[in-house]
Amino acid sequence: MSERRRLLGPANTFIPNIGITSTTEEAVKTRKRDEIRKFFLKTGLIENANGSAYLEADGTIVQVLVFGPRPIRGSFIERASFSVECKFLPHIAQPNEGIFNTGSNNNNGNYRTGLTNIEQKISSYIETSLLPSIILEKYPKSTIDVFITVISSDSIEDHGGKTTNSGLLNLVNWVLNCSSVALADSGIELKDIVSSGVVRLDKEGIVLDPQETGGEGIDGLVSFMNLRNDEIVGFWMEGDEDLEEKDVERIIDGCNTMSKKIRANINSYLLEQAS
Amino acid sequence: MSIVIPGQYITPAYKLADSKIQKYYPRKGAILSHIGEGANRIPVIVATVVGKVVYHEVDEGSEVQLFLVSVMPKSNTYHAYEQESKDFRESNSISINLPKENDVVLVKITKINTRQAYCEILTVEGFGNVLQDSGVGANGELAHTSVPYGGGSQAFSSHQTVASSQSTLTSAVTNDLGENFKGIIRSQDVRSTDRDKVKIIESFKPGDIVRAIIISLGDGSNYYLSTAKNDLGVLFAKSENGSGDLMFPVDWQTMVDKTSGVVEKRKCAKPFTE
Repeated sequence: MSERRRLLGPANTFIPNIGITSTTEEAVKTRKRDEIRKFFLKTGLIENANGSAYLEADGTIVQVLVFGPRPIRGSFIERASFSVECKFLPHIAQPNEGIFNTGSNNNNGNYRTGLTNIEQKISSYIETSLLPSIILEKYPKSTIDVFITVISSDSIEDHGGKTTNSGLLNLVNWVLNCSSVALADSGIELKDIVSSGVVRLDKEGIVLDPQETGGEGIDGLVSFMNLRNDEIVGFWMEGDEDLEEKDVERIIDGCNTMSKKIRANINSYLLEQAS
Repeated sequence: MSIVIPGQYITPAYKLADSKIQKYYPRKGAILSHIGEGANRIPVIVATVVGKVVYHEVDEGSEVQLFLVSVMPKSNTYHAYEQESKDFRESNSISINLPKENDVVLVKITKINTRQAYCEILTVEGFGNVLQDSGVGANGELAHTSVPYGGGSQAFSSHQTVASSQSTLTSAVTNDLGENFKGIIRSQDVRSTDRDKVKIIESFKPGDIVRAIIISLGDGSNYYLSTAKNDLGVLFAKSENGSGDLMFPVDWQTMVDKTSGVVEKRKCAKPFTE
């Protein structure tokens, strides 16, 4: 007997093969070690958000919406409260899914009720990084909410059973840059636009914007306010190798170089939009 | 006119031009920030929004030239923006027009009781609407990403489920979609004379459009407003609790419906001074 309480599709439907990796050859990495991939950026695509930005970098596609300042209820708050929520589209494999045991968050396997661990980690990194740049005192009794949707992500595959973190950090890097632009688009007052860079320290040295996952090395993601004395607002390192102080410095310097390049691109985009 | 973006340096706070000292103050869309290290650390006016730089010279008659620097967003449509950017005393100004103390606002009365009238703030006079309705429900644009715990048409975000809440107070709960900033007009703030004899029902009715001034940011939910001035009070009202026609003021406490002739009591505004 057919289920009558639910709206089912016609009997002869088939499920599309979403999420199956195509067998095409991966593009060979041709960038130099100090070269950054090109990215596409656009603001204001979503009309009913106060600010929005869309970013594409190779297979990584991110969309960020900013709502606010919008009213709260309850007791008085002097500064705006700021929250970030990062979500992956359901069919996207999340980085390190196996390690973080994403599946446990499913409610009887039907739908997700909250954020997965990896989404939580990304959200809190983005919030920590953006928080120093926002002038919250100017918006009493309000909330500013940032919603991030990861539409596609290409750097998240397991390579020969060995998972690395450069895919994750790479993704977070683009998420952060996109969020900053969305905030700037919303007209909320910012001390500076936050931008970030991601590097990989391997035996040969620093690789900017690493694309290959796997292999030995330490990955670093550092966020800056580049026009505000290069203040560091976020710092994330992954890897299980010994690290010396000078290595950390090299990672920070590498990230700063990349961050400045991205910032320059964001600057010229925003200026072009405004004029 | 130069275009700037957040973080961009506009000018140092002090400058020497033609052997005269120039001092710059940040206004809307700009802040004072210290750039550089050690001995090279200097105060700089920095932009906080994307927009056009506007300088305004303040004539103080002194040897030091004073300038106010503000950044006007391109999308800006507010009449009072330029005025406010020139206001020397206004230091706490913000580029998005959240209502603040001493702002004149237009409100719509939503409900009344014997002690106070509740209202919703629609616009800040001279600055346009307070907030575009930027709500996206779970049924809307983002429905495919995930459904909130209760499902259905509640706001996409509830702070209980948002992961990162280092700066979010638990008391901060967002309003429902489409809800605006709200206010209260207490009976003692309706008029400045005979304040203890004010009856709310003879001053406002739900649906009235009222011009009021903000006297306090109030608590989390409500601003506190006052109409205790001649130019503040009801601007538009319909008779018979809204079922009648538009009424016109006869004197400061009476309005008349010109089609039916019904007379009702209101605390009327006299917006135009002769």
